[in-house]
Amino acid sequence: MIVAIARREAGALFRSPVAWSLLAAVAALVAFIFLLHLESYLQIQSQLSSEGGPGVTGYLLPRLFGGAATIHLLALPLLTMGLIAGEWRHGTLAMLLSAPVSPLEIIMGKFLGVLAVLLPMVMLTALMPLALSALTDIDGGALLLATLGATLFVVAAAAAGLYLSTLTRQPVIAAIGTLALLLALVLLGEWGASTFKDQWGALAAYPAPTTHLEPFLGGLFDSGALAYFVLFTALFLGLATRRLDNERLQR
Amino acid sequence: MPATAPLIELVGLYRDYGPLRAVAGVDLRLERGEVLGLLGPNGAGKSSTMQMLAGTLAPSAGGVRIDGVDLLEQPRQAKRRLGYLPEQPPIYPDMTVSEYLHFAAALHGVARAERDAAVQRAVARCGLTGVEPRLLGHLSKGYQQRAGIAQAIVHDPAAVVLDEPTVGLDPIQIREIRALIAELGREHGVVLSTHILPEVQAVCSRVAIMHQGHIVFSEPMATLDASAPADSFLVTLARAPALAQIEALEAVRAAEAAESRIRVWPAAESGGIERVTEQFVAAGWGLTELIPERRSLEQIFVDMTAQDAPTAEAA
Repeated sequence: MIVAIARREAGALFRSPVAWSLLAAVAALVAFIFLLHLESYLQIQSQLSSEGGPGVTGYLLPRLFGGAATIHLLALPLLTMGLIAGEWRHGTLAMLLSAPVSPLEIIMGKFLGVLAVLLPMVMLTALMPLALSALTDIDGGALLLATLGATLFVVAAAAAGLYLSTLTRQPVIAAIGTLALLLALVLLGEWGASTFKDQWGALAAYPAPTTHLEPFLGGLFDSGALAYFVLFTALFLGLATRRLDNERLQR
Repeated sequence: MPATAPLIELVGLYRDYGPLRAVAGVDLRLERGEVLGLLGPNGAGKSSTMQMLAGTLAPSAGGVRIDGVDLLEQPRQAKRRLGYLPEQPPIYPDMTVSEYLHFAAALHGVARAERDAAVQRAVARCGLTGVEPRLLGHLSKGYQQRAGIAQAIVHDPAAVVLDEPTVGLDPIQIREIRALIAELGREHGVVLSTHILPEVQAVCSRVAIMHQGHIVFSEPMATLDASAPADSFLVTLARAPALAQIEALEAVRAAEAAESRIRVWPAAESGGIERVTEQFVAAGWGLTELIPERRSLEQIFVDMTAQDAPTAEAA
């Protein structure tokens, strides 16, 4: 039944022009970032190689995926905003709640459904450096790690977006809330890291998903960062499930 | 008794919203083959009761059993036996009727191999043949309502709960939906909430009236039929005596003046009017007119819901 809900959600997203136009816009923007950094790499390539600097993978991946993360962050609330808020508006939540499915199954179905759009979005980003492999050597491991990091980042942010969507009947408010929450975490982290150079800075930066994306983009597998993303996702999925259960318990 | 458990059994159901008690100790049973009409003024607790029945609202106290399965202890098994049409039909505007019913069937645990047949059956029963490939958002309110009923019966539930199924429909659509409900009542049990009295008279086999969170009246419709014995009679007498003289008769329980006529309540429950007429004629009062009075559903509804303090007394 999780599958039925996930399939319906993915179907609804792909039937509407929202998913397609969003994927197209994200692809165009990320391609622009890609070409921009590729261009700058080509200009300083000889200088970099004479100094023993990073190769094309090492130069390009953090910049490309770092920029793409911002675009993903901005695009994602538009997909997650209607997940539960839309069900509320259409009165279909009553149908789901009266069906033999648990709130957790509803949340998981919704979550997997929206990932069916979000994961292709990440893959589109990964395809760009992969295209260079026809011309030059690409560090496959680094690309894989960067893609994994970007995926974890998007999955975690989508869980937050799903939770915000359970809090309101207005999808737009859910989108604004998601954006505000994620940007606040990121900005708090950047402010903390730049203001205090000590452990307080690290503390302020810890809640920001971008902090934990960095090691993956630098070609490191950081199990602490992996744990952070898993916990972040589980926390918001748990909160969303609780919120749906509360809908039944009181009002 | 468990051999023939009622399709729906509500026992001592309470629902509080903060300090407000919306449902206060409702007991209700729905037997197989019954269409139960749940009537009540707005705010009587009908919708809360329906939602608790459907499992979308948890009761503050009390129990719900669907076909013998406890909804609170085994929600999955109980909900599989139940079809629910909420007050607002749960319509995904971007799905076709066929996709929607397939989704509803999957959601209610109909096995993949049986889904096509289940959907076809629901389509045929709800008069949706021919509109399967159309988007729900493009259908008229009547068809959306039918699709809503179809999703409630696609998994062939034992009991169907319909919350105000004919709101916003035109008279022809209302007739069609009522015919469908009557048909559903033959194989499934149906609970129907409404505040439209003729609807209850048209389709229900039993009526329960809710007021201020209580069930104040619960009777089979048959007792409200024309064949049922009348409660009181209006009589016209050519030579009317004082009321006290009429009340003094052994066959009369009570009498009151009703404009030019006199309203008489026979002492005996049934067959009482025969004795009344005999004694009237014997007294030589010139009985010229005798009109049986039955309380219509509307009168009962008004009587039951006008009073502030509900009583358990029924007609």
